[in-house]
Amino acid sequence: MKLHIIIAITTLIAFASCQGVVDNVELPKIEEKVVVQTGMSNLDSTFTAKITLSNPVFKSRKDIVSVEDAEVILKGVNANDTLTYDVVNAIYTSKANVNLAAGNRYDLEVNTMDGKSLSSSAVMPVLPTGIQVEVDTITHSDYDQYRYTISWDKPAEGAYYEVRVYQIMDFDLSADTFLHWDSEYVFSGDVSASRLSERLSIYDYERFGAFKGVLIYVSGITREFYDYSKVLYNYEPENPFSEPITIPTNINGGLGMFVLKNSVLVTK
Amino acid sequence: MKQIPLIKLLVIFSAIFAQAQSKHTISGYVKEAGSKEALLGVTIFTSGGEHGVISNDFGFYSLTLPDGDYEITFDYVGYTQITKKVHLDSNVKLNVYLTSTENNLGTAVVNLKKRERESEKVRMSTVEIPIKQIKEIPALLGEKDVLKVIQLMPGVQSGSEGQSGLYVRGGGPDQNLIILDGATVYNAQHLFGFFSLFNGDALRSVELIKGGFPARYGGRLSSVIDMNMKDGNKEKTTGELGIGLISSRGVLEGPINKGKGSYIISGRRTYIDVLAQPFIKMQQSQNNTGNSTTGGYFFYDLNAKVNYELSDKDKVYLSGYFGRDKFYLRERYEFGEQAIDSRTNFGWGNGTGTLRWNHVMNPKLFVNTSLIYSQYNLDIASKEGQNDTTQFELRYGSGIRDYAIKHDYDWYPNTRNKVKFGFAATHHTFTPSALVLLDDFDSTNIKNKTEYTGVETGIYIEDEIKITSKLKTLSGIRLSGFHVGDQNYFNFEPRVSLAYKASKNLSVKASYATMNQYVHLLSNSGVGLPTDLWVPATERVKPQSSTQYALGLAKDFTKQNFSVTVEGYYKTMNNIIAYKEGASFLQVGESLAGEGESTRKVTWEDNITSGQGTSYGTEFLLQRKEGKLTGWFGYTLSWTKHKFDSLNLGKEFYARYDRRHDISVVAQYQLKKNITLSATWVYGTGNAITLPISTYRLDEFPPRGSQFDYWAQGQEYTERNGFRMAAYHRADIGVQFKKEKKRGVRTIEVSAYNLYNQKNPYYYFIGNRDRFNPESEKVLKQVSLFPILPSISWNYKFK
Repeated sequence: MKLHIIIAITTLIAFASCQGVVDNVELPKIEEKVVVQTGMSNLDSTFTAKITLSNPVFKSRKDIVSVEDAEVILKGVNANDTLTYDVVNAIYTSKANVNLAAGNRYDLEVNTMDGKSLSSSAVMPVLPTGIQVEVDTITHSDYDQYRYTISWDKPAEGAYYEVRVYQIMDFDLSADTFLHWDSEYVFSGDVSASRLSERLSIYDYERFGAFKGVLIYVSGITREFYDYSKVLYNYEPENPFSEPITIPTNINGGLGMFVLKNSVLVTK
Repeated sequence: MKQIPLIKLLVIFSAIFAQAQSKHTISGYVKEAGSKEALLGVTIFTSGGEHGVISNDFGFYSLTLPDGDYEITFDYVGYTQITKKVHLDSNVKLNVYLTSTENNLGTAVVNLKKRERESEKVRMSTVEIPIKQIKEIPALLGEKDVLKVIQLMPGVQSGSEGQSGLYVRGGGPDQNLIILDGATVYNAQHLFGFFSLFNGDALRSVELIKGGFPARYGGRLSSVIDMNMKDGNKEKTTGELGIGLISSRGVLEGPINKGKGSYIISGRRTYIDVLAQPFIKMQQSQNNTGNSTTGGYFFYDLNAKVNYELSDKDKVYLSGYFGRDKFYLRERYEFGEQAIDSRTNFGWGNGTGTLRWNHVMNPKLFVNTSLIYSQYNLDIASKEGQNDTTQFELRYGSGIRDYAIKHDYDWYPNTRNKVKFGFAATHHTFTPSALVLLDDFDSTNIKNKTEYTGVETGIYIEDEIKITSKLKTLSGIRLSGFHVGDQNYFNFEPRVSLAYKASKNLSVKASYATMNQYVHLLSNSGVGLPTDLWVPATERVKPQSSTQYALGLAKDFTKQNFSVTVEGYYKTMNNIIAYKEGASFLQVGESLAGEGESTRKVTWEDNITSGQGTSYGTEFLLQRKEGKLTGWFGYTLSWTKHKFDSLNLGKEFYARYDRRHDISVVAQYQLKKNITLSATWVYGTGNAITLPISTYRLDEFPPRGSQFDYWAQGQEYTERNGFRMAAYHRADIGVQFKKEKKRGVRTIEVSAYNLYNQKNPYYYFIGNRDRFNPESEKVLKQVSLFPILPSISWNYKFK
């Protein structure tokens, strides 16, 4: 029995791993980067930008730091403006109404007080056409489903679309209409069909209030934003079996995304 | 004038194939004296070495010579040379029995006369690994491992600490054709790669081919590891027993109808699960809850082979391998008045079976026909129920199953040509995923299975030609094909090896080979998990292909009894596959990312991307196979790069196992008749990994003010594989004490793995300096697996 235990302990030691701090390799030199998340659609009246700093892993800073003193310049047809910082909302906003036109190129410049210069540009995509929405009800014993079918003219080759769907819910407790984000899709004009059929499930009818319909945005988007969205659908950094993802950026000199959308809104 | 080269060529070929009437053939088998085990790779040559041949995989040889008197020498490493006088005026059948130079204690008696030296071989990039060396090299926990010895060869890299995966000349572990008695072994690993399937007990020969592939091999890009099982002792029943720290093993072999046939059975099983049971029970009795848990892990291997001589010209062999790894966990507990029973099993395993028939059609023509079965499967099963009813059941499986036929000819038309030709056809059934999910709670009832079938074919011819006394070539062509669904692929694969003897002991060699691979292994980060999926080339996923050029020198130092080879290689690989960023094997059956339920469901083809690879480098090998001190020194300087349109933003990146420097030193020393010392030291540049370097916020678009703030956390990484882990190095030592006993020889081996307790990194992660204080500084941390590990094993070989 003694031998039995000795063998077992030796075996356990064999498989015991140990942890330690790595001090025999040179760590990569990591700089804080400026992160610019900015953009607008034709349905918005102002252009907004959120500017923050990335958080290097070997620094013990916990919170995301906003950059409050940058110079943010938008250039383009009917869109020349220097954005101002809204301290309350921690966001840069255009002073004037911006009216983006399809096919026009817009440039963005960001200059920080510590001398960093970032730039980006995007072309306003073409507006989707021929949009139609049909909604069917599928009733189950304990919940309802609504099948909505959205169709649109097939986008030209090289064009990219995004479809966002919101449920419109009417709460008993409030007179306000609540928009519940439901789902989001992106399509490449190169390969995708010009039709989307999706079920939208409404569980626990009594509790969450009346379903009033759907609100659908069909948007023309840029190639960069299409790639970005596709990447984020697979984004699971906590999944040990998942490959690391390089999140695309179109911000020269930093991280983030400059997004332009040309959207059609349909309510059904 | 233009016709002269053509005429010259015709004259040369006529001379080569001319059959003089005054020639006859000496043919037969070379076997081991005593056991009558066939010996393959024996050098057979006439006095002066003018004519020669090598015995084939079944010990058969054929030598056609002009009539006359000859002294024919039979020579094989580890056996006493035999020279036979032959008067040749008609065909002669000559079976030869070589006596091992090992005494009962396994001590080699040095025997050096004429050998087929490295400088005389036409093939390059090929290494034969003596089984004796495999059994003497110190190993992790004393578990002898063929693949880990192969890792010590230049041009071959291991994956991570303790892993038995092979990365040959920049290729992935899926690009190695591992053959056991002609059957493909798909997953050669136990316990997530810490041990391989092959411990050497039942093996007769192991050969590694890294380049200059003969045309008879096909289907993989980077290497061939060709292993043959022993036939078994034809004269007497004998065996071997071994007891190690984590497993025990045994071999039994003996004659069938004495002299006519033989059998061999070899088995191994680990007993980690058995050893752990007392601790589990102790824990349960302390808890005193009435609940019970049983669980554990084990693996086993079973090799078996029988052979029988039907006649002088006909032999049949039936061999098989079966092995399996299994994790199991069973819990019984009470929940209210209900008795819950939960069982989880996680297992994977290989099985192969080969039926072979040898037939000597005439003294110059040998034919072998093989029927082969091979399968690999992974099963994950979980079941939970109460009071003997099942309420939840999950079964997930994947695998591959092959049925194959091979028909191969060895033709020895004259002393200048050795021709091999034949064909092979394999029917593959791939099951990338099979899922059954039953759940009473929400009435889930999912049963889906994806299955593909494909037929892989190959027809080949190769000829080893002695063009002049200084120039030899091994040239061949293989026509490979693959049929899957409505898709057909056909490819020509020319292969050429040249050896020019610049001086008595120095030759210059060159080779060219194109290869195609019609099966892919989907692997997350190449860790080599049993969850890796074998999938076929399809219409969307093209077959992998490679082209490899190699140039080298081989020099023999006959007085000192060692050889040196230096080889440079350049290899390009096309249509190699990898998971897309963010994809994993779990993402199958869902809707295509972001495209709604009306689109088709995700298949494995949607999760992968294909690209190109390039590998180049130089390998140096100094090897001594005989003498008191044997072993080798190997050094590799290499680069391996990949380029995929949808990985790393389309930029080229280093492969995970790109290794700039790789050194291995292996030494075995016969201290006394009964004591053998052995030691190894390895060094390798650290693996290239992708490291997270910062986090940042991802806002929705258009970004909104703080009161509507919605954002997620993004992760920024280095370039793909843009960070180097620390270099890996380790020394192992071992000593074997042998003692002759009444009924056999007892061997006790004491060894130490990782002698100087180097903390080599297994993987890196970002963590807090003080792991119990989340406020402490973030640092890069490593997990190391194996500290210094002493082990002891006992072995008894019956006489």
